[in-house]
Amino acid sequence: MRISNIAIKNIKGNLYRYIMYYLSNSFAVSVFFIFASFVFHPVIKSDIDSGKSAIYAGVVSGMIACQVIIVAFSILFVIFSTSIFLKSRGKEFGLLSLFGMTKDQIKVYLVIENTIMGILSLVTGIGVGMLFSKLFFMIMGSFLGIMIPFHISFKALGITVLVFFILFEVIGVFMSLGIRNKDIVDQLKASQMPKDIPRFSKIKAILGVLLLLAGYIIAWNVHGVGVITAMLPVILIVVIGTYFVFTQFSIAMASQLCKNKKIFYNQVNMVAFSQMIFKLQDTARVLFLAAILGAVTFTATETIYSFFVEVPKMGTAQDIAIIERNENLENPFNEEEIKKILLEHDLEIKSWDEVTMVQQKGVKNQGHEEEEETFLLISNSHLNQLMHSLGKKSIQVRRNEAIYNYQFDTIGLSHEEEKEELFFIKDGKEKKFEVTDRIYETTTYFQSMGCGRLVVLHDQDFDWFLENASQEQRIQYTAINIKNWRQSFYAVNEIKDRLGEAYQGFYFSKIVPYRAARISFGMILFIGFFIAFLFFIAAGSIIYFKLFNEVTQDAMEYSILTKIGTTKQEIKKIITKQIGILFFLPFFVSTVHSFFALKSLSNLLKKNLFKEGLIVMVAYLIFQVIYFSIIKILYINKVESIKR
Amino acid sequence: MIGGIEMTVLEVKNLTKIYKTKGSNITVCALDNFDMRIEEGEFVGIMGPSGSGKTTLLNMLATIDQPSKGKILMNNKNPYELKERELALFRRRNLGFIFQEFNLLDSLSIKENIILPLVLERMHAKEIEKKVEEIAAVLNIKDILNKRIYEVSGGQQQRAACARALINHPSIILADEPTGNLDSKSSYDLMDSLQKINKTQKATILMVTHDPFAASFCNRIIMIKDGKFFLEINKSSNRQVFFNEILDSLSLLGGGYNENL
Repeated sequence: MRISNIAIKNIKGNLYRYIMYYLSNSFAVSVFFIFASFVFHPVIKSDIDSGKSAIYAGVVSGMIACQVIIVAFSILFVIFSTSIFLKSRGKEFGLLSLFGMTKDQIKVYLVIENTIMGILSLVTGIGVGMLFSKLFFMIMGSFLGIMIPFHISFKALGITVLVFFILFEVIGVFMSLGIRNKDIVDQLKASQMPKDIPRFSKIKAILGVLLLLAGYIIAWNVHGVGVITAMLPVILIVVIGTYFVFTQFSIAMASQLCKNKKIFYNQVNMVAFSQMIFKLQDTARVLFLAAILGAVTFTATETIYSFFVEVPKMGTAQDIAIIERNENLENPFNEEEIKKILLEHDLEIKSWDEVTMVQQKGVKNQGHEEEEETFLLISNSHLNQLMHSLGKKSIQVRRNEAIYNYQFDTIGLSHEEEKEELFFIKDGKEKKFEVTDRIYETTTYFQSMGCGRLVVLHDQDFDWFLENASQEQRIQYTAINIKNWRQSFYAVNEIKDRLGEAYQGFYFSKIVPYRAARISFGMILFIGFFIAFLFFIAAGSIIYFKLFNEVTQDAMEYSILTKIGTTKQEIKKIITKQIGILFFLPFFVSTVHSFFALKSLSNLLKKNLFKEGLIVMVAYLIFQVIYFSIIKILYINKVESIKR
Repeated sequence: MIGGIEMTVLEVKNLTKIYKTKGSNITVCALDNFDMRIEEGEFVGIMGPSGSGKTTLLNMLATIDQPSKGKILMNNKNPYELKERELALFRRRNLGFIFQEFNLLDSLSIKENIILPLVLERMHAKEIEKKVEEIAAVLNIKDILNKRIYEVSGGQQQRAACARALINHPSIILADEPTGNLDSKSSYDLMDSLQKINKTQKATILMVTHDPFAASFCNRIIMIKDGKFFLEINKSSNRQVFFNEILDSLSLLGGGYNENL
């Protein structure tokens, strides 16, 4: 028997310890390989090289960024996991040295073991990656609107193998060098040493909670640019707070719970809780890491998902809008034709509004400085007509007053709330308006065209401008709203063709930009999902490690409990409670963190994003419950197999 | 044995246990048609050389191993007719255990270890407190109740284990080499305590031991050899005499046993 045989036997025997580590690594390799296959795919590459598509280049650089994240994360993950492994194996190393294995041989043994694990992860990861790359290509192809055939890229294969093999080996060698020369006696005793009674500092426990509260309160209340300024300090406060909450407050809480005799002296609680305190102390740092990792994952997912839902809707007004000006005004489009097209596509017209606007040069006076600008004037009743059709509240403008209609509140640019006056000189007459209000609603497509600020005037004031307006100044705006605008894509394209070139740039629809934004955010969401999932399983995997490190010790305790007449169900209850806390405590903290982050984001975007956040969290909760159930079953099986 | 009408706590009839080695047809008969009867309030010692079937017997009495043949009746009930869950509850309510390696839970304090069986039974907190005070006084461990396992000596740990076995007044206490991990002073203290419990609380105790000194605290010794009943001796006068009688009988057992002395 050689050292490599021992190493292989050890991996086989300790498979249950390695399994989650192995799965996490394999998943990282898979994702890396799939992304690499995409990046090196001949279809994508030829299109980029020929400069055909800027979108592809964007997607490819996004994926390369994700690959960098995966590798950076894998480095941290492998280092962390290996160090936990090595710590838990003191007794094994002690025994090996007792039997006369030299320190160098132990290092070789570790490196061999590490290499085997690395190769296994690589082979599985690439295998699974190849299997799923077809599916990935299909989904990416549908986002990009092209066919991406199955293709195994040797470049992708080579890079994946190279990157991860170097990663596993370098870390493996590096970590095995770090084994310290402890006395064999100490190593042998390592696992038998009684654990210290968990201690906590009241001040730190309270400080942790206070820091968290402070972070939450700030995150809840900041607005506008404040969100960006406050972000780093809040993250720092919350991270430190979380650390104390896990290392101090959780133990304080559990100890307090143990003092309550009614709860503590209730069946399995006594055993479950008192073991829990030790477990909490042992795993506090791991739980902290898992919670932070989870918070990052959840927040990122919630943000992308919120963008996916919200951004495509932003900046769009009516479902269809047609602008007529200049020559188009003289030979207007055929309304009946458009109605017919919509009818043919089963799209019921909800509203059909025709409004007139006037483009007018004027002077804006903010008290100290004057500025000439082009304005777009609209009458109060016409604007209300548009607003009504969009389901928005109507506004009232008095004579000689004006209201600005901005598309949306621009982040960071606080709109001048001070007094402002508008002057228009027309045919030698000067008209003066006082700006009394500003509303932030997307009411027309002009607002994004840069035709000038939209100004709402009293009907009679507006009529005066309209009467005196030249042909070039007049704009006819036809706003159409339909039921089921989401199904209007084909109809909208057909209308576009019918209107012809004369209307190019003067024809708008909700569905076309919506679909484009939806596709790009959908793609980000899809690619981001892999990273999120990697983080998610890795967070669970480090908890799993800690849990299974103690499985032998735990099994012994459970066998004592069985001997004194604890039923199987009661032991399962204890295990469920403990693993449940270890799994769901960080999850809960991550969720709360991410919700406050989402609140900040909501403040920044002035949108309520909680619905989107909730959808993401429910999805993660389902994953977490599945993950928890699997690990619980694995753990219970392991305990039972040791007990016998 | 104690006054009036005798109550049989434990009856063992034709108890047989055959172990089969995995993958081959070699069978080992660890226990062969063994009979035994224990009355309420008795303090019985089981002795025998290594491999004589003591542990097998105890495991089956502890209901954690199935007999191949024969019957065990505890308070006229056959525990092997119970389902798994009921069996655990039966153990909890009728049996008290004392083990060689104490088997106390590290994460609990001495007191919490002792009250564990009551807590599992959902007894009221106040009643639990009362009971633990009583039992701790008998076993002289009142001062260490709030200590952790590793803060007290082996002898104290074993007495805590005794307290756990006693606290819900089981029908019978099964002790497996209780002095095996103790020094002679602690052994004496423990056996003295067990004897006291047997006398004052009328607890029925069945102890498996190698140690003639520990065995001399019993009222009756049953010796087994090769899975079969070998002989039985009763305590007639004082402990010193009984101790010598035990030594004499052990030499009859012969073989490897003497090496263990």
